[in-house]
Amino acid sequence: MPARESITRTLTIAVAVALVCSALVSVAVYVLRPLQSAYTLIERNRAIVAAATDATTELSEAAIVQAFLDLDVRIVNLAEGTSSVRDSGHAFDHWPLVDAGTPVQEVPVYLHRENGVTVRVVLPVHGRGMWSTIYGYVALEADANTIAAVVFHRHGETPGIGDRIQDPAWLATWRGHRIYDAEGVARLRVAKGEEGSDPFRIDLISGASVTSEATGRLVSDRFTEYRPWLERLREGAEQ
Amino acid sequence: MTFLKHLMHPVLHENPVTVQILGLCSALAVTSSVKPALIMSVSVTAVLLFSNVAVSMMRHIMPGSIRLILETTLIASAVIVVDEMLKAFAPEVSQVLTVFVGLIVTNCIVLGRAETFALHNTVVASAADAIGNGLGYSLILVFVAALRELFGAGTLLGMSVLPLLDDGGWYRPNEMMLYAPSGFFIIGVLIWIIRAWRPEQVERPEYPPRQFGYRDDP
Repeated sequence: MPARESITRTLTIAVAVALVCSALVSVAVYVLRPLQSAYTLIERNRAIVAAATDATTELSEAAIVQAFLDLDVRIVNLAEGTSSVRDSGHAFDHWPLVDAGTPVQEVPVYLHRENGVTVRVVLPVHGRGMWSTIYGYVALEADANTIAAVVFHRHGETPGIGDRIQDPAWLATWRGHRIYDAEGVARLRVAKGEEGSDPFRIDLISGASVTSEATGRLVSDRFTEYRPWLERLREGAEQ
Repeated sequence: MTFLKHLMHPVLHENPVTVQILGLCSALAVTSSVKPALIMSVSVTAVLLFSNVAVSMMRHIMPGSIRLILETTLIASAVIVVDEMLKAFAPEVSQVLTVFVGLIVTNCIVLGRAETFALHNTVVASAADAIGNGLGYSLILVFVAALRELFGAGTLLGMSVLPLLDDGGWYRPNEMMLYAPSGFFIIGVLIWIIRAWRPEQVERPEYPPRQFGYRDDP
């Protein structure tokens, strides 16, 4: 065995510790990943159900799954503005493509129907916040323009500051605002100003202005892509 | 007997928070309610135990030149494993603790115990020292969190203790308690009380107090 402070000894021990530690971390991540993704899926479904039904009370996991399966799923083709029903619609997800940075062609939308009539349409939104990508869902009323509910379920914004975009009181102020103007341009934004004076503007969160402004921008960006399909929905061409 | 001594000494006489004033950042940040404080306590204790045992096992073969890097690597690995486990088994609490689990790496208690104790003591003694320091940290954390949750929200572990005015009770919650500065106030008052009761815990001044006056004065 070489002396304690020799270069060989130092290198050997450094490499050994690095190997053992990386094995430890890899095994932990590999073993725990399925449990974590199950939770991520439940949280996604909770966000969709909350947007579709205003279920503000704490639902059990079984109740969330049931409420999620009760929603109708359409897969929207963004380029053509058409949608289709698929057998595995509830399992379809475009977030992996978004995470990978691949252009998205198809997104799932969720219809909340009562007695065969659509009362809410839930569409996924995502886009850049201050540091991270913000993910969420926007629910529209049956007119396919007025906001009924908004949920941001995943983000990496500053804890205690940017994460106030998840504050239920602020999200409630989105309700009743409209996304498209008479020309069909997505004009919704989050900006400073008197609340209620402009149907397209939501007041920003003071202290978290960059993140909250970004949420308005990303919703308008996505709804510019959704416009062809939503217009067909409004005209009754999509069921 | 020495095991018990190594275990209890850091809880009572050398408490990492109130005597050594370490780990304050997380003690302020995660103590607005009891549940995250409990989970944080368990996490820090687990990391401490792992790092103290690992460093103690390697104390005869660790080259001095890369000692600190090796210790940090071991601590960082333990923190990642703990963080991943929280995300899998306690995801809601993990979202409350956010970055503070990752910041256990920089918690001076962990590296401090590895450097000052585990490098010079047997594995069993180091394990006792780790659990003792973890308990000492947990004791303060949970106490502060209990005070803040009780007076800030009228609850303990989410269960109503003081019925709130809003719900037809009589208690008006002190919202100040839920903000980080009140964590500072409580820890400050706590240190004051402990040192008034046990004056031997007051640090001696490092330098003689400076005399003010004219230079020619004797």
